[in-house]
Amino acid sequence: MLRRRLLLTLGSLVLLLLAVAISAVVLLQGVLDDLTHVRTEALVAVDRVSELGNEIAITQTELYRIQAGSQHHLNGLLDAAEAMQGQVDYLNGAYQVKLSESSAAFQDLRSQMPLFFAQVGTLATSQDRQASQRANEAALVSAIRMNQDIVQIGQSVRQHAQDEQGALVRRLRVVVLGLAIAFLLLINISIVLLLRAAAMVLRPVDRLVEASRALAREQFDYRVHLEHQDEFAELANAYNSLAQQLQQNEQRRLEMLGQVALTLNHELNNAMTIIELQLELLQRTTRGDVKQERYLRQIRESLERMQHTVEALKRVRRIVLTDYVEGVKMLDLERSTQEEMPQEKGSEH
Amino acid sequence: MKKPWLILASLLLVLLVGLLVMLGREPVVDSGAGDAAGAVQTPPAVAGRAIRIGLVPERNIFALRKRFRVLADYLQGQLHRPIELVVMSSYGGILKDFQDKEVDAAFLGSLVTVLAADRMGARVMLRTELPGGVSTYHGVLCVPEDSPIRQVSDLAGKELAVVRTTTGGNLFPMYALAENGILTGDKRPNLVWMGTHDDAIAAMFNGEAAAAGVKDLRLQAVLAANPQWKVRILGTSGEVPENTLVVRGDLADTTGKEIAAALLKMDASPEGRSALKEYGAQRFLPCGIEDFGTIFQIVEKLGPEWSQLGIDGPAPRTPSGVK
Repeated sequence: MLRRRLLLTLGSLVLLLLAVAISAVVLLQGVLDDLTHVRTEALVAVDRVSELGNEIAITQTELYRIQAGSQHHLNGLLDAAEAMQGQVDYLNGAYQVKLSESSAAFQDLRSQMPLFFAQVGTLATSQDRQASQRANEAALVSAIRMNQDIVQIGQSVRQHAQDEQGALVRRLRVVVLGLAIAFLLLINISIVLLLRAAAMVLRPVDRLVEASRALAREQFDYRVHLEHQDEFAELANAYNSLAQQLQQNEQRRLEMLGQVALTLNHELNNAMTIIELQLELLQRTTRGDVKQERYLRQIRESLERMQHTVEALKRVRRIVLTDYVEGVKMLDLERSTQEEMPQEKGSEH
Repeated sequence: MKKPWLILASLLLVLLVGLLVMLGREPVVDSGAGDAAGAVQTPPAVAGRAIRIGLVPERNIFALRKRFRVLADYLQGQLHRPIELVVMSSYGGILKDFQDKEVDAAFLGSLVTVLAADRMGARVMLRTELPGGVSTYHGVLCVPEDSPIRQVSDLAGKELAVVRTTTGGNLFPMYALAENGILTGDKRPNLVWMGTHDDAIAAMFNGEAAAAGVKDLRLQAVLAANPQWKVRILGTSGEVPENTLVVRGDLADTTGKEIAAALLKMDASPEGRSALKEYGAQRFLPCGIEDFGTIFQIVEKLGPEWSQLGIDGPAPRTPSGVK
């Protein structure tokens, strides 16, 4: 029973700890997931938009340089254009650009891309200078338009990332605060449960210790009563049986002692009556003899003490022993005739 | 009695740790389409100065760059030197880069090859053999099949779509006009300069021009893609090598030979064949300036009318031994 109750209490505590720990991990994992989302999607989208803006700016610069005749290599222009396509492909899968604030601009940018590529393609392949220049100018117009789009997309995506970060911070604050309160409650509950578990053991142990002390004081009427029927209750029952047995033994000894006292009283009273009468007679005959009278008085006093002792034996209420000589006990007649002292008496539980 | 409890407690502990580990997992980060496209590949070990190879795109520059990157990667692995592709927008740019030693080699069209060899002393090393064993092409002068134009002389005063600095789109059409006496004077057709052969063919079918002077390989490809388009050929040039590798004169016997050797043996290895397939060719063949006899003959026949082609500079001189 005690084992079951302890297991139930401590098991509940463990389960509670587990539940709180798992809840904390799940909540924090959720926050971490959101953080990862912000880091890998929202902020990456911001970076991608920024990079796309840079690539568009590079294409514009390259187109201006080609137009001015200061550049006849197309690597920079083509690299930037291909990088643009990569960024647009990535952003096409990003949910941020599908939001209402940026959707129209992104669609416009996407629709410009094939046109821009065709213009760059014409610029790159055309062997006719005028056709090249026309393609260059058209590509510049497309790039400028895409630049305007990307500025708008950038503002929207940055704002969205900031909103997501703000929401994440708020959620983290709530989770941390909630977990702090939960852990404080958990600590309190743990203390209560542990105290309760300790009380399950310590309270009956205290009572049994007290009962043992009462037994040591030969206070055989002391009994232990426990609330729960468990291992300690079995121990208490065993103690109570032992105490009852000892109490019965003590009672039998007292009865025997009373019978001895009656016998002594009966047998000694006759003898002492005769001795007393003889002492009366002797006192009459020895009147005036001081020495004789002193002897008779001493005999009379001893006789009274004997009568007193016999009377005391009849009044024995309990057996209290005292050392007669080393290793030999004798009845402490004075204490045995007295009621138990208050401090000697244990309370019955 | 103690053992089952110990086992149960241990299992519970292991379960708890496993649960916490599972819950505390590192989130899987979706790297996104952009990163997936740029899958990391271990580049071959390369060292030394980069070999710069110039390209003058004929069409579809972005697809062309991808194809040449395959070739560059293969060469890089073979030569253990970095290969850098330099894209030029015009033949003038490549000639200037040869002069300034900005590029070491280039893949060029036939007419620009001849100009580079003549003016910059560049050496022709290889030509490309396309699938089907095609390593040469012709210039053609064509009109839509339903056109009333039956012969070159009928082009007088008409719009002719042409492509600057190409054999098929510039040299041969001018030669054909000159041969028919309509290159100069009142009968000269109005030249509509287009950026590419494909643009010239499209311009002809769109009505922007009555005829087009183009490369036959591009004409066949465009017609295959547009079966509704039919043409009538008014004239065809002799054959000229397809897309040749030209190396700067001072590097021809060193770097040029290394590049040529690596490319010539491409079709002998599975890796090389795979790269060739991606590049869009069957193999590379040795080539020399003597294979451009057709161009030199036309140039000689044009004589002073070379200036009508709209190409800066003098006409290329026929090297000795070229017929």
